[in-house]
Amino acid sequence: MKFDHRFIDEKGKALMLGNEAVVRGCLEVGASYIAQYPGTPTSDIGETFQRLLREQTELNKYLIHHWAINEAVAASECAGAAWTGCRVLNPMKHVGLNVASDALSVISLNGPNPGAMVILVGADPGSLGSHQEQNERFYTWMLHFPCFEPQNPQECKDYTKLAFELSEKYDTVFEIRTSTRSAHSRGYVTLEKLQKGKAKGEFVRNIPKFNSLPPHAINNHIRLYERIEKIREIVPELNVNKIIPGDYKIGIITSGMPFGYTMEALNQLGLNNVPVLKLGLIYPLNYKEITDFLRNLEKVIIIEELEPFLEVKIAEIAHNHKVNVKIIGEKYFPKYNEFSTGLVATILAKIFNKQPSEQITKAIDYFNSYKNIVPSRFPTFCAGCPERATLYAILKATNQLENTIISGCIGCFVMSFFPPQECSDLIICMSGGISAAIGMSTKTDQNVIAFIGDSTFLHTGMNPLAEAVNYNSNLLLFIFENSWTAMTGHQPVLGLTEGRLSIQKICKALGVPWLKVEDSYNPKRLTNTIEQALEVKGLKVIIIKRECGLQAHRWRMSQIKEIETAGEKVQEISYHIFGCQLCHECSRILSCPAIRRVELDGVETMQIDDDRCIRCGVCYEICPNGAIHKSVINALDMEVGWREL
Amino acid sequence: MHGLAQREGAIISHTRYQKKIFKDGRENLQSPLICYGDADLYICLEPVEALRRGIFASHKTSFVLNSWTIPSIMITADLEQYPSVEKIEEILRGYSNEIYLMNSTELALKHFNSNQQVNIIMLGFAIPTGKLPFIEIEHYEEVIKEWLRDPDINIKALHLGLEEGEKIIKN
Amino acid sequence: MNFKESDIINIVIAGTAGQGVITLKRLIEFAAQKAGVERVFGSESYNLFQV
Repeated sequence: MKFDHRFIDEKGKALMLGNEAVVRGCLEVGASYIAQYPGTPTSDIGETFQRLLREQTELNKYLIHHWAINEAVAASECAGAAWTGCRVLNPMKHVGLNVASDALSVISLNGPNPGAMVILVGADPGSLGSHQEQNERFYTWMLHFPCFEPQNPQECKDYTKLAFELSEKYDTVFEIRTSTRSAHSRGYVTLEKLQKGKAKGEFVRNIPKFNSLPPHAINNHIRLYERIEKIREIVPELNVNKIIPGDYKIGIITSGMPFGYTMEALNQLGLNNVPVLKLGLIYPLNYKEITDFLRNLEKVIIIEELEPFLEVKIAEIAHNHKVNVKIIGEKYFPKYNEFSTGLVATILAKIFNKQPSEQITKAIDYFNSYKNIVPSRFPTFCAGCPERATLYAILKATNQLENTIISGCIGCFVMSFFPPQECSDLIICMSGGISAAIGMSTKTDQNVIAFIGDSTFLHTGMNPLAEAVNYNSNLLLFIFENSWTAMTGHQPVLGLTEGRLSIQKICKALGVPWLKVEDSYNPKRLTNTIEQALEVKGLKVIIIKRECGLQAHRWRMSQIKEIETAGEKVQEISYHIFGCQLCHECSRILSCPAIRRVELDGVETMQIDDDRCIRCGVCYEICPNGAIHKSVINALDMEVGWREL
Repeated sequence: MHGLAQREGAIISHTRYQKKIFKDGRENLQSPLICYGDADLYICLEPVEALRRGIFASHKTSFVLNSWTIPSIMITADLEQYPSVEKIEEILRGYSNEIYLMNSTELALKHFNSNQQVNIIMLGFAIPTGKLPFIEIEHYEEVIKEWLRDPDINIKALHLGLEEGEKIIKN
Repeated sequence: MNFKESDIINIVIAGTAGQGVITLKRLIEFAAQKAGVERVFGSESYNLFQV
């Protein structure tokens, strides 16, 4: 068993991702409970913990990591553990914070003592891995989470440790806010002493603290204000807010990733005498720290991504303390999408009336001159994906979505909205697909099809399905049971990958009137089933039970390798194209990435990339001209098939 | 791994390092993202990807490309055009003359019967450009032994890329 | 191509999924650490809406 020494050594420094640095921070303060639902960019935190618990068996004596069924459950789980006296971490992505906010609003009032609770929110400006963009920093004001914003992996670790200590001392839920950039960037992190966490604690009754009903709700709210003010007072002692000095009369206030872009942009523009205030703690702000910085300036530029958050607070502080300084920010910087060094440099050049460096202007101009010939390459389903095969069947059964609406959801099938399949008419949130379909199906006579994945089904999908059963909503629901939370990196689906829960049983128990289990590797049969379903009124559910293509392929390859290393021979299957009529059925309707269009002896034909094809056989089933052929080598030897779910 | 990255999409990554940092922090490496036009080296495992994020390139950039193309589904479906490798090279020459191409996928299939080693071959290929200073071959070998599966094959791939790279670049 | 020790070296690695772009990036970063480099900072990106 190979050990990852970066999580065992106690001195020196190691190269780590921001997320790994957070894990390291947790191990150095004795955190002992972590519950989360996978979500980019926080999934690696859970994966790292799971890996460490397998490698270092001693850790299991006190450290518990749960893949929770959804973020709201994860938040309450963590509170429960914190209230026995443990230090708990609750990671989630920014949309997950929306889901958990109900529970967190109360946990914040009650406070995590006797333990400590740190929530880690992975934001996603630029929507690099999400289905929306929002500035979730406003939650820190509403629910009163003092919030650290690290800019590099070393700060990820340092702020995590500080957050736990302060959370315990001040009975307040603390937040660490990373973004996709800071969570997934790598840098040096110093390694310090590790601490063992609490294996078991004890819950001590305190009804007014843990039950925020009247009159305790008001008292707890008053206490919360008091705790925040105490923290606001000690902010300067924390040394997380730093001034990089300069004598220019225009200054900059910034935090998180934009700090790095700003510093490099200033250096490029020859503006190294501009003073910069870097905020490590973005809530609460210490009034004196801010006003001391503002008093020396005529103008201050606030550099932050998305909706103005710091800018609003700083304008308020300046006004209340009668500091006369011009504040700009959203006037120049975009309120959408993420930033980069180049973007910040271009905008600062405008503000300071300087020419952006020739290097930047040339780079932008030349790139703009040719960028239109770059073909798109958006993410799509892997070769052998059962979800893509299902979309093929749906397109055939509905004659390219004639009179049909697809109410999509979050998961790999989210990619169905890209061309050429374009199989997704709307996306709201986790299990928003079924929910929207329920409403839609009452107000239109078009065919309504909804999608949901297995992990999403367990997350929040059972609820709308129960409602659909109750109203016998006229919709067709596809549940993609591929047994992995695939989109976020193949985390296990709670209860499915180990087998204690069964989606089929749950559907039957809920009373679904029309239920079929199908295998999309048999597309012709699936197309028939869908056609039958669309002729029936009422609720119909088809469970597509076929393992994620990528995972199934990996398993199959490892089985084959084992057998061959033992000296046995294995049956080899491959598919090849001969006599292609270029009807484009496999490229425009099935759209498998393992198929490419080539010219052989002056004739254009489709060709299967042998190293990308995983041998699912779907193209072989659907070619209308019989141009795809199957060949089997060593037919008498052992056959390694697909893993049965 | 990083979920979305596995879905046949385009991937770009920035790596930056600074051997010795200045005492006055303002001139140091502080952002994980490269500024427009600031790249010293582009290692492209697929040719058209060099153009997709070409905004970080300039006259000081060396380009090391794998010439084996991987068409996206829109290309296969004949709904978009893939510019020829010659056209891609022509556009890159607008930046600098240090454009080097090699069919690493063919090399990998020939020597190792799989395309898993393409990235390591490309690393070996990039080293003779001199744009990865202060790092010796031994350092790469040590890391390969510690972190990768099949270290022997990967070390062979590194040296293969290095040899072939030196032939192309020293010309 | 003589680099000073205080120069910042900037490398872009691009490719399609499954080619090992991220593995290659890690290799370079860890090798830089072995070479005793004082600061390393890298970013991995996989844009959903990239053109």
